[in-house]
This record gives sequence, structure tokens and C-alpha cells, in this order.
Amino acid sequence: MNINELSNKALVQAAERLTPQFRQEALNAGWPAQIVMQMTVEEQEGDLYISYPPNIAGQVDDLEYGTPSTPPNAIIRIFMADHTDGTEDIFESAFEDIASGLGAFN
Amino acid sequence: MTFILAEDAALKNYLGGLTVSDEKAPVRPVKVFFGYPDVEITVQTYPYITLELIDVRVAKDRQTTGRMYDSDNRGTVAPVVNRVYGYDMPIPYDLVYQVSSYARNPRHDRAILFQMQQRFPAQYGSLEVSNALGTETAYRHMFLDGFVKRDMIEDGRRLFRNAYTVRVVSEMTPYGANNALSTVQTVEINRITNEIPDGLTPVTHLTQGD
Repeated sequence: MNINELSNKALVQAAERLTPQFRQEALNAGWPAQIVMQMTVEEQEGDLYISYPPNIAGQVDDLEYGTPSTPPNAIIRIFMADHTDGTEDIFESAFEDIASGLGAFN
Repeated sequence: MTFILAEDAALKNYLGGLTVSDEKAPVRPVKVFFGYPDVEITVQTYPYITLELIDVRVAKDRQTTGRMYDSDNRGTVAPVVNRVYGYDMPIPYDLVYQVSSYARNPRHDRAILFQMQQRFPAQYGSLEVSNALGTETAYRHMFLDGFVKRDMIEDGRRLFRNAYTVRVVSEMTPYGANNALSTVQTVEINRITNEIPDGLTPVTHLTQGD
């Protein structure tokens, strides 16, 4: 496994570890559980993003950006901004776990 | 004005003066609201813009330490000769706003889009914020962090809506932070005084134990 593959694997693991954290924050912010439980944090080309099925995209947009009669509840933007820095720790932790498994620190 | 209130007022002022035109009105002002106004009002006032403060973030990467000295306590009191105020370096914050525009007419929507792109450029944006005394003005960095177009059908009619995520840099002094976090311990009410200052009303409905 070369360094790029190792990094990508660590980022995928970091995304998996962030998914329950994102869901908890969304639930705490009042997003409905049937929407939140279909959302995941995923990695694509080195970036993390929030993924959800197309059939709930309209509801997600209405929650995130609001509607003419409801205010925005901007959990996706806040979460992504919060984890621009925080992700480094989770990434490092995942990276070390993988590297340890490969015997890199032996 | 103080932290957040000053930026709120500055942003609303910054968005004032937008107009659109159509065959019925050559100049139609675009109203700006904080939060979400009553639906009954907005139905009659399309197009309009709403401002929502969606996040307040400590910007640790801009934090510096040390003491600052000036003669007007960061623009909050009138300067007095030989009087100097000292305070710790302020805590930097980012204030994140969602600015949303709503229009029924596609030409209104396009006119608003054009004017908003000028007010919120991709880079070099700034917001003019006055100090509490109104004696000095600071130009705060302002960033367009995101834009989404979310047109929809509402009540069988098209509704053109756009959402801008805008970040304004700000700061709060430790003194301001302490004041914001202080808790009221006691409230003293004099129920029998006959010397009521002008503009105030005596409290008459309280009973013992209130």
C-alpha cells in the first residue's frame, strides 16, 4: 500500500467516523430522524461531503436553507465548517490505526 | 453598537436601496427583513430579502495577544483629555449570515441576482461598520462562502429564491464577552418612591414576594 492509498483509506475511515457525529448534531438541531438517518459523511477525491439520496434532496434543501415560511437550520454548512479543522485529528487517528496495522510503527 | 448588533445593522444597511423594475413599476424597491416576516406581509411585498444569522464562530487562527490603548474605549465613549483606556486584544469571530432573496417575477430575480453579485463578490468583499459613537468606520472583510439557487413552485406559482452564505469578520473584547456572560444576581425595585424619573412608569401591580 503506497502513501496515496494509505491516505485515501484513512480519509474514508475518517468519513465513517464522522457520520454518527453529524447525525447526532443534526438530530440535536431538530432535523427529522427519517431524513437524518439517510445522510452520511463520505469522501470523494480527497474531500469530505454530506451525501444523501436524491429523493430527499428537496427536504434537505428546505431544512438547510429554509422556505418562505420557515427559517434556515444550517446544520450541513455549520458541520462542514466545524470539521474543516477537526477532521485533521480524525484523519490522523485513522491514519495511525491503519499504519499500525501495517506494522509501520513497529 | 455592540458585537453582532453592529454587523446586523451594517448588513441591512448595505442591502438597502436595491430596486427592480417591470411594466407596472419602473422602480420597485426590494425590502429587507431580519429573519422571516409574517407571510401575510411578504405576499404583498415581493420581491424581498431576508437576513439570518446562522453561525457565530471563534476565529482562533486570527487570535493575537497583548494590550491595546486608546482614548475612546474602542469607540464606545467620547474621548476625554488625559484619559486612556487599556484592554486585552479582542477575540476574533466570524459571523455567518444567510441572505435569501425571493421574487415572483423572473426579471425581478435576475435584477436581484445581478445586484447581489455586485454586493457579494467572490473576493475583495467588505462591509462598512460604524463604531458605537458613529465617529469611526471600519471596513470588515466579507466573504461569499456559498450560493445556491432554489427556485420552487408555491401555491401553483413560481417562486424564485436564492441563498447566499456570507461570512463577516468581527471581534469582541474580553470585557464585552464578560458582560455578555454575566448573570443578573438581584433586581432591586423601589415600589414606594415618589420620585419617578421622566419616561418611567411606577410599578403598581407587584405584591409582596414578587
